[in-house]
Amino acid sequence: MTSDHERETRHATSFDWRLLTRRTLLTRAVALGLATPVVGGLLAACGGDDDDDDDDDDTDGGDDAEPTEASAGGDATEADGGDDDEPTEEPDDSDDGDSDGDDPNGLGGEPQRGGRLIVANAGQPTSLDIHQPAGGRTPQLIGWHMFETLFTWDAEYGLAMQLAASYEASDDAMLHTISIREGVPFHNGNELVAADVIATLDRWAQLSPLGELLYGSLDSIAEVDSHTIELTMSSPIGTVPQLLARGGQGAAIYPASVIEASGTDFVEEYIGTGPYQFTEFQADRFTLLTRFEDYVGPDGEPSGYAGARNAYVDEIEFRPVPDEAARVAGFQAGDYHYLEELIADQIEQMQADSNLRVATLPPRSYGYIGLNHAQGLMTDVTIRKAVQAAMNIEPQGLASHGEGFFQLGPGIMLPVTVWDSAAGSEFYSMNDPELAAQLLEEAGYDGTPVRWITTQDDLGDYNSAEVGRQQLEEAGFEVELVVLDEATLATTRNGQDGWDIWNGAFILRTDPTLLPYLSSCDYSGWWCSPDKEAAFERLLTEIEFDARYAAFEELQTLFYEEVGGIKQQDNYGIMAIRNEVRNFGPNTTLFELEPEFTNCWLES
Amino acid sequence: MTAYILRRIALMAPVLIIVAVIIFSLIHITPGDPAAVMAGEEATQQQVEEMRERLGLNEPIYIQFIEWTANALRLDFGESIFLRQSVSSAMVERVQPTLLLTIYSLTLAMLIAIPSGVIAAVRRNSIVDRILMVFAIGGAAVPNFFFGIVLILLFAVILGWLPAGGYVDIDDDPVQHFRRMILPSVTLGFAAAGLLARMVRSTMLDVLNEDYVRTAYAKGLRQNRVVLLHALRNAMIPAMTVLGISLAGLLGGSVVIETVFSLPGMGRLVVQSIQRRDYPVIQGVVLVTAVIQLVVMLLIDVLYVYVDPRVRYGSD
Amino acid sequence: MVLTRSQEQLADLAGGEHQRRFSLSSIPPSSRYYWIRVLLENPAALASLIFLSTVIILAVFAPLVTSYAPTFVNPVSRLQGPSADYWFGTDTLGRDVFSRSVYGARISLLVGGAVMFGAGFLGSAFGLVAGYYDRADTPMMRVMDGFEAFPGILLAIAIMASLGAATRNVIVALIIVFTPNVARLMRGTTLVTKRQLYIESARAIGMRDHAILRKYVFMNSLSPLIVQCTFVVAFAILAEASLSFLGAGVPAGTATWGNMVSEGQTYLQRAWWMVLFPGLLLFMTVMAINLIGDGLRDALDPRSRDR
Repeated sequence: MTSDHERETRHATSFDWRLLTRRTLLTRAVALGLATPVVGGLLAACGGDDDDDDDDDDTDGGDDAEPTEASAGGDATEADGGDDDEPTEEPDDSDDGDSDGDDPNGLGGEPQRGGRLIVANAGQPTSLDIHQPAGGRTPQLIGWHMFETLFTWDAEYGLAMQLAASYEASDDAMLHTISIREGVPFHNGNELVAADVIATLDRWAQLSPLGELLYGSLDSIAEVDSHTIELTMSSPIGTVPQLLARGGQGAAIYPASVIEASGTDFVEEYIGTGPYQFTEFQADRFTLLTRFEDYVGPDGEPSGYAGARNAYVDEIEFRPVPDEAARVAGFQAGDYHYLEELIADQIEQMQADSNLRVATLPPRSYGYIGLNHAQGLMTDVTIRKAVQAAMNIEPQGLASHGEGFFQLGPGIMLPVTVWDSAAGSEFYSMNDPELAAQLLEEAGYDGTPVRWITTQDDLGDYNSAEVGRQQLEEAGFEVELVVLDEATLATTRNGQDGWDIWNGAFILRTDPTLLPYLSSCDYSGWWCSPDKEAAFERLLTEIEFDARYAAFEELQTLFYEEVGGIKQQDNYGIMAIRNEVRNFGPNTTLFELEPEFTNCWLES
Repeated sequence: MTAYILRRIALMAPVLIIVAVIIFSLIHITPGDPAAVMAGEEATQQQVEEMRERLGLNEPIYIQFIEWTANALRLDFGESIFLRQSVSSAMVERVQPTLLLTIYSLTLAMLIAIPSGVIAAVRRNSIVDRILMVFAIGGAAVPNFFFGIVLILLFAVILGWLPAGGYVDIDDDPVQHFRRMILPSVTLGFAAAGLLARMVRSTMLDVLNEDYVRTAYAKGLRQNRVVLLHALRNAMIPAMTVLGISLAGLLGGSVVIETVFSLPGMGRLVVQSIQRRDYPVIQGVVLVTAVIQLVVMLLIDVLYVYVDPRVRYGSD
Repeated sequence: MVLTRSQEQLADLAGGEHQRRFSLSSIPPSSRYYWIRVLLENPAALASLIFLSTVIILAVFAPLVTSYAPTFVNPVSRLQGPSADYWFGTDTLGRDVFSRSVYGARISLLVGGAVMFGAGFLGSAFGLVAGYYDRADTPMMRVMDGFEAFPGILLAIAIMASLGAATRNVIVALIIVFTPNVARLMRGTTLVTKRQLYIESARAIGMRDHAILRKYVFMNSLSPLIVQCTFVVAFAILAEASLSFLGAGVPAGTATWGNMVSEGQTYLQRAWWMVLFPGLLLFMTVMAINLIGDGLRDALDPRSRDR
């Protein structure tokens, strides 16, 4: 946190629309480079590392695509972007810009200690071992109350220290020294020492992609003294703290003894340094965490995940409630304080309830229709153009998210990022079935059915597919909607056989290099062309933001001209919490990643 | 008597073999490669191979069957693919909610069905009979997941009297336990009561037409006495069979109800396992349920003979 | 629900009235069509028959009575309450709930009907053979016992888990579930019938087994079979709904009452019409079929009629 480099990356990784205007973001973002992929990777891993864990019906598998009922930070209030010619909204500072006059964060009042907070999860974790892949979102939501990392994120997505006490990097970024806070106890009573960190990182590197990335450039890791470690790199890497920070499959620090016992298998004991400790798990019933009374946390004002973690609530119970209707009913009935996976259509009935605090949050994901360039009908660019011409995005958004819970815009990077662009907008939401029909004729379309694969496990995606199907049919396509379960959809989508179209969503990426359909010709859809590869090469290698932005705009133009895929609507996040939970909302925790209950309290 | 019981048990053996064949075949009628399906979306060829190895799918099919059956006899249904625990321990953890839910709803169903069935039979064709029977048929015509959601909305969301779902162990907190079990038991019990009431009514009618009942009436006994002492007691015998059948229905119904009310039982386990394609769990739960049902049927048959020695068992 | 003898006699006495309405009372109790009269004079069964016929007619002529295709999505008018345009309102995709209810009747009735015929046919075949041939009896009935050892819905979802979601698979799974039930019934009646004298005579004059089974044994078991089949239809329609709710039924998007109720229950507070109308149709249809079944039993079985 001391070096200039750190400050720069901190700016670079900021995408906090609440504090920064678009213009300042653009100028500050010049430093973008090393740091952003890491943060983006974190975001990607956080939301999308699910595979066939169908408990979490919000994620659609793969490590890159992410459906839509996600929450995001800030407040969706109308503000004029000035130079925007698209119908995008630029949410402003929610502290003073909250239009409905209701405070979504439940601020004010005196903190109260005590009580049991109950959270309804959509699914049940198989394990709370953060390092393991394929856990889905639920283990992260639970686990980060027990585990801590060396570094974490503050409210502005700046790096902050959690278990680390200091960090220094050599000028050539080859030697990194991290010291850890002294006197931090694990839940088993032992003090955290450097050996625990090293054991953790060695294991983490075998399980987590982020770890693999770090260890790919690592020459050696050594214990300098009982509270200091040193990483010697084989090639320079400037983002060590970011890689070690909290995120999906992040480097949660475990005691060396736990790691010795489990190796790379799932850990048998959940022992961390966090403000809550694991107390009990009963299959299909609950996971119970209780306050760790000996907790020694970082000082400072709470901000995002950083700063003091006051652990006002005695106990946190996480209950798996898979049936959506039952989950919502239980929430309204007061059985739970918070629930995962809320769909926008439920918001209306909740807004009237004064016991609930409901907020709409700015977009953090967008709908996406993937086309199979590798095999079948969609190999023909004219057919793809016909699909593009037939699309009318607004009804798709209405069907998947409901009125008032999405916005239209051609940008394949969300407008809250610095990468918002209108390039290719003439091909966005064309709603021109005549043109589509004409293109079909030109392509000599013979009525072969288009195989559109979708899943009902995600109602929004499914509804969107139904609307898309109809729009294609109106243009003269024959469409066969193939409804699969989530796991099969992901498998099918990643193979070239048996499908022409899929739809899902992409979670917020801070840097376009992290969009898999741009970065790789091997990603589902297999969009590939020399122009695309050349533009991407420049995006990757250019250092100046302006040059990178130009490369990105070219990519977005190509995305529309070559019809790499179809970009749909930007989806708003939604949040609902029972009103007695105070000091909890988009401004008190990083809602768009995972909400945390470490600083909220229950008002009696 | 003992001979009869032994014979009945011996007769169960071929049925159990058939049950085993049916359950074993489930995994093999899946279109495509079950190992690939179970290994998941991002599985490499090697992982699929490992999965195949683990499931024993490389063996000839009869060997697979023999191994599977031999393991099942030792209550070893293999390892759950998703839960990282053995299928048997997963089931043991989830027995209580299912068992108690079944018992509560069965009790409730009987408390409703037997009086209404008897009244309907005694007062046959009266307006009371008709109303009761319309309710009985109606109760069995509502999908029970829907009935459950309506009850949740009414009693949990609107009135706020009861929790919407979840489970508390009976030995942890009996009050909370019963509060949580009311709605699911009512949902399941009412549906079962409809069927049960109709069966009670019809067996009662049979009995009321029997000679000894007519004789009792002829002796000048009052109706209540006749019904309670003679008819009802005899009607209980066929009603026990009905009980067995209802139990089967309840075990099946709990699959749906546990999902609606988030009860951590075997039914929910099997539904989730279907989504996860966790075939060992599906096989284990279905097998155990079938065996439970067979045993219950056997007990009822035995009880039948015990209660009513007149019943003769012929060729079957 | 059931007319007593005395009521029937009264009805006969009041013949004039009745004749103008049904001209059914002219069927004498001795006629082989007498049961039709009994059935139709049962008000619950009659009302149910009328209701069911209406549903069937609506289902058959679905394209004529609806103004929107059941899969026509129109998100602009999603979640609208009942109106002149949308009699039953619209769902989350702006599809017409009325159209979907009417088309849903097709699938629900198709599932019910196909399962009835499938289970009726297979069950009859197994039951007849098991009941008629002593040697076949034990093995066949043990197999049936095996299938009956499972709670029906559990067996159905296990089969669906293996076969995958499709209307055809729902039908197959439910046929498997219901066949033993029918077989047991048919075996029972066959066991009784085959000892009748006229069967012996038929055999004596050299009639072939399959002819005897078809002409006499089967025909003799027809009444209880028909009654049983009505209950199979009712249970199959309900089972389809439960399977859809558990995500192991007819694929999403297909309009079936089960799918509609299951999709709509999430929206019960927001759009009650999504659930109410298909739910009511499902409920009333199942109830009507049950009442018809009861009526048929009373009409076809003189003993039960006496009650």
